[in-house]
Amino acid sequence: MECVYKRPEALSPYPGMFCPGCHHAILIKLIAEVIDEMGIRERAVLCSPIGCGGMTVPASNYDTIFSLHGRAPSTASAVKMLSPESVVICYQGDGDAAAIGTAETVHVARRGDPVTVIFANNGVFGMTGGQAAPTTRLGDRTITTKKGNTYAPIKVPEMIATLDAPDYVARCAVNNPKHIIQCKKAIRHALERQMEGKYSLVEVLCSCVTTTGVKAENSPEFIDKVIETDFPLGDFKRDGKRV
Amino acid sequence: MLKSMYFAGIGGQGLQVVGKTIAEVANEKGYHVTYSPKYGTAKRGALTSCFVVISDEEIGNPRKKKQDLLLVMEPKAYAQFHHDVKPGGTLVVNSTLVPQVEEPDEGVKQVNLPLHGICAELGNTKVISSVALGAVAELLTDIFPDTEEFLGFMLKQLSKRPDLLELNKKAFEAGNKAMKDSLA
Amino acid sequence: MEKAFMKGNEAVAEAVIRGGVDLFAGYPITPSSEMLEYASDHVAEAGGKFIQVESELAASTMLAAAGLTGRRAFTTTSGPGLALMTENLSNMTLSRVTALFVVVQRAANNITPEQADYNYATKGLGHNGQRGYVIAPSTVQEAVDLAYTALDIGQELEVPVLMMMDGMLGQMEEPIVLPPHKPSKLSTKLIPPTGCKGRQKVDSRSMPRPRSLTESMEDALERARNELYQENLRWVEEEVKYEEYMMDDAEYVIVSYGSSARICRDAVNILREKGYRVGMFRPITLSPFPEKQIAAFKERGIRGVLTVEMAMPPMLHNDVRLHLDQTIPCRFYNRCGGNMVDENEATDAMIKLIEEVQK
Repeated sequence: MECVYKRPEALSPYPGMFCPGCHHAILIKLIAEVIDEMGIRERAVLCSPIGCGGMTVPASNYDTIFSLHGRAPSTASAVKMLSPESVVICYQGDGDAAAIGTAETVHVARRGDPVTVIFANNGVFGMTGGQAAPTTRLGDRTITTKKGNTYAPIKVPEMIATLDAPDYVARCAVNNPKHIIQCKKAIRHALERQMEGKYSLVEVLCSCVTTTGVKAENSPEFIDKVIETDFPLGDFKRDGKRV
Repeated sequence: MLKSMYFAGIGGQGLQVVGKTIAEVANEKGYHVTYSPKYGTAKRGALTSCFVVISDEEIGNPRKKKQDLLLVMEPKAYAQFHHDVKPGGTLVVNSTLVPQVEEPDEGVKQVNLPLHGICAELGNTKVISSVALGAVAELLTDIFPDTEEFLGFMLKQLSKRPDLLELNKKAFEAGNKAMKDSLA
Repeated sequence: MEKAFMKGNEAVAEAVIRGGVDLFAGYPITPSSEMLEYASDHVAEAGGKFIQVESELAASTMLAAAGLTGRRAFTTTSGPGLALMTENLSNMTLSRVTALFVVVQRAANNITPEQADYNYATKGLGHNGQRGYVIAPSTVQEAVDLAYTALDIGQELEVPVLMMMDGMLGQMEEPIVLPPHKPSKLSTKLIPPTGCKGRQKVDSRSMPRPRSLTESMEDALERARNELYQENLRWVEEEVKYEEYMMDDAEYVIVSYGSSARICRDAVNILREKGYRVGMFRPITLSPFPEKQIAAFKERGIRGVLTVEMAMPPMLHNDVRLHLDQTIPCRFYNRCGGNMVDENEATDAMIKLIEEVQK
């Protein structure tokens, strides 16, 4: 019998720890597929953050390095500097990359360190219970903004694209098959550019199905709305040039 | 033998060069020596100073409270430190910038030298450190009988700037002569 | 062996480079910046990497990352920067990761020397109160010697190493002898998680986690802390370093460390000239603290102890009192704020103590 579909080797065989319906799980699998297709599992290193993104550690069947809340980009830079043959993936959430680790996010990009930042943005602090994040949209209700968020969100790819050194900066989503295919291409391109010695960042819009009040079955629709109102998809920098 | 020195003034008066040169020469001669600079933020015109201790034994405190040799370049340094000389020690005052001085403490020899005035005669106030070094070298002849050793070290440091050699040599010699004359 | 006349900060950087190092990551702060500047010129020459980063947070993160991959890294900072490094120091002690932090202490917002980070360095690095290995040189030569082997000891003990200097020692120049270059070495105690070629994947060390399905998180944390505490107790037996000066026939002792101790050596000499039988005991490791040696003062017939440091409130003093026999009078002479201790004032303080004992 012909095998037409199987678990990617870069994805661990153990049951995932993410909530059922969480978009992180789709993203993790996409990264694993890309790693398999590129044949780089034995060179790949995932720098894990604090937050739901930390659950990528048991989910990944390749080496991982632990770092603290917001510090993953600096960890990634140091690992790449000391071990240039490694392909370094810096996996972060939005509290991690856009709040407490903003300085690290910006300066690793400013220096153009050859690492790939995969930035899973679900618009809230998921693991701590759904508090407002700097990526929460204006007016959105969360457990700490019950009357609606009064601040406009930070847009990381748009901000990083203003810097000279980054080579590839994009925003993707994983809420429908079309977006998933686009996202996979973006991740592959980002890793390829890292292997050329360049910095790359891919933001991936995710839905938190546990803390935002958006049910799993409604989340594809919800993400479409998020894309329409605040976070447009597409490339912001490609081959070092602004798009 | 233990000789403690303190050079105090403001940034740009070449005090670190004076202290560093004496310390380096003492090191070359095989003495125990410490050089301890003291300065604030990297700002021109702020108070700056350095301590040098030379001994034939291991040195404990590199910043002695009382000095065998104290050089003050400007009024604030004079006001703060002029009592910090041991009996038998020497206080050198840059009289161009500190024209009014009190009687020195008992047993302290005070020498008023117009160091900036000497520079002005040479036509360049930037060589103040060489003038000061020339003057101070004359007070260290008990350890370094040959004052030319300081001149030699200083000129070696300047070897990449041959255009400055002659001027600094003149400055050192002018400072040295002024001190000799005033001790005579 | 190579002679030099160097500034403390630069000499330490040179010694760490000669001892073998893979990475320097740092951020400028007075009075430590010369070490950063020197590293920018010389780390790459010896085959290591240099990076000046955006904050002390990033610097300490990079040191932790280097340690997690078995490599050797160092940085330098002063109190305010050390405070920012706390986050990673906490994690490094819990994860059993090493790197060298050279702390050139200053008096808070004044850039003049102090020794006021003693409690920070010795009482527990950050949250969770775990200990690192803390050394304190008192001359530039000793700083060179300790810096040269600091990362060897760090890789052996698997905790962060803090070298506590101060503004005076960092900025002063003294003749030194430099040790020869040796290559950096990879830690043999962990598998560097930098690619899983030819083996199963590994996750880096992290804060204590359960080792099996039957071990709870609580049990895992408790086990890790007990293990490190047992290690701390072993350090007290085997890793303590100290120096004794004129202690053979001493009845009275000055206990002091770092810059203060070199000044107190002068005080001991003055007191000896006056006919007092005074010696000095100088801890070189502040953690582990030479507690057994201080407890043994009683049986050595010591009648009074004076501690001297540049800090207020007294810090070293409290550690000495904790381990000293309670019947021995223990007083302190401290200066702070950037004012140095002075050998004459220390002499007066000791004479006062001696008179108090003999009354």
